[in-house]
Amino acid sequence: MKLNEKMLSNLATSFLTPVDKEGWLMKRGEVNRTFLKRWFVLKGNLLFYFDKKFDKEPVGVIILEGCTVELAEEESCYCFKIVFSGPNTAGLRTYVLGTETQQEAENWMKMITCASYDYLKVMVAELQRQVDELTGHSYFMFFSMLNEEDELK
Amino acid sequence: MMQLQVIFAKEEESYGIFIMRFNEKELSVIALQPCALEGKLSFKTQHLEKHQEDTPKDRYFRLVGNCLFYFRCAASGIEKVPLGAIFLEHCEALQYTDNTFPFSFLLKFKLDRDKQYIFGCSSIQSVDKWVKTINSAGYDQLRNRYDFLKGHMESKTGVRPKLGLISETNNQESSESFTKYVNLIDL
Repeated sequence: MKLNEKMLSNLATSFLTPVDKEGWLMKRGEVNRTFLKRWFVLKGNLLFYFDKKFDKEPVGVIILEGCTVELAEEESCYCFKIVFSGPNTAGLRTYVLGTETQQEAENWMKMITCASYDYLKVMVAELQRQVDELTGHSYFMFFSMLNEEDELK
Repeated sequence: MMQLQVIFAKEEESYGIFIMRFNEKELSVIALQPCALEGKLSFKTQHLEKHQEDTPKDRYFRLVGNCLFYFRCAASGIEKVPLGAIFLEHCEALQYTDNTFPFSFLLKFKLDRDKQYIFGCSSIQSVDKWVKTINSAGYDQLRNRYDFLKGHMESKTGVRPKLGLISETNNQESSESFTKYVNLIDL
């Protein structure tokens, strides 16, 4: 499958998008089951990983859609799993990532759980519903909300 | 895990080979999820630095979240695995006129100024629909909308809304007009 990889690679280090979370994580290989230390950068629903902290190009990216986050059973570190599933679950990957402290693992798990586009869409719809309920009328388009923002404040 | 290879020219004379890994199989599953818009379009890729463009092709497109997938058209529908995926962040779609297609739009990216895509649609209404949908597909835009709504709720009720996965519960602390909120993860 072809991706617009140059754009994605630039996105990983660009100031145009905020970094939701970054830090060192141990990532277990798929074939070779040993852990490798990688610098992870979460931006939206894209979890990039680099060989070193200030590298310009990521080694890879994990697109965080259609996945769940669970604790892992590893004893050597505080580990969690990103589990992909679908209608034909056979062959879909599970990423095992490890941190040095319980707190770090929890923070990463929280952030990754809320990272998907789908999740954000549901949250926006819920907020929209609550706003509509409060104000008694609905906003049809985001752009019209932008114009009204000054009026309402 | 599949690996992609892209060769790009650096400012000096040397070339660099860039391989980025991604969860391809899992992405194929996403490509078939409910989408904001889908349909058959013609498209061609333009490589501006090389003053080249690829030959136009007919593909079936599906816009899922912030990603535009495309599939090869088969005799009885479309192939199950997408040929490609175009992530739509910091991009702009705009109506375009060109000799290639009667009704078309251009898609360009702030974060890759070398590459742009020209799409051909069956009607001006189709162009309009695609342009509007693509321009509101970005993750950052959705996030901005979230921040705006959150701030709006806060200013209206004086309470910072908390949203998450678990179902609603009553909160006695909040003001009269804001009687319930969804409580789990403090975003």
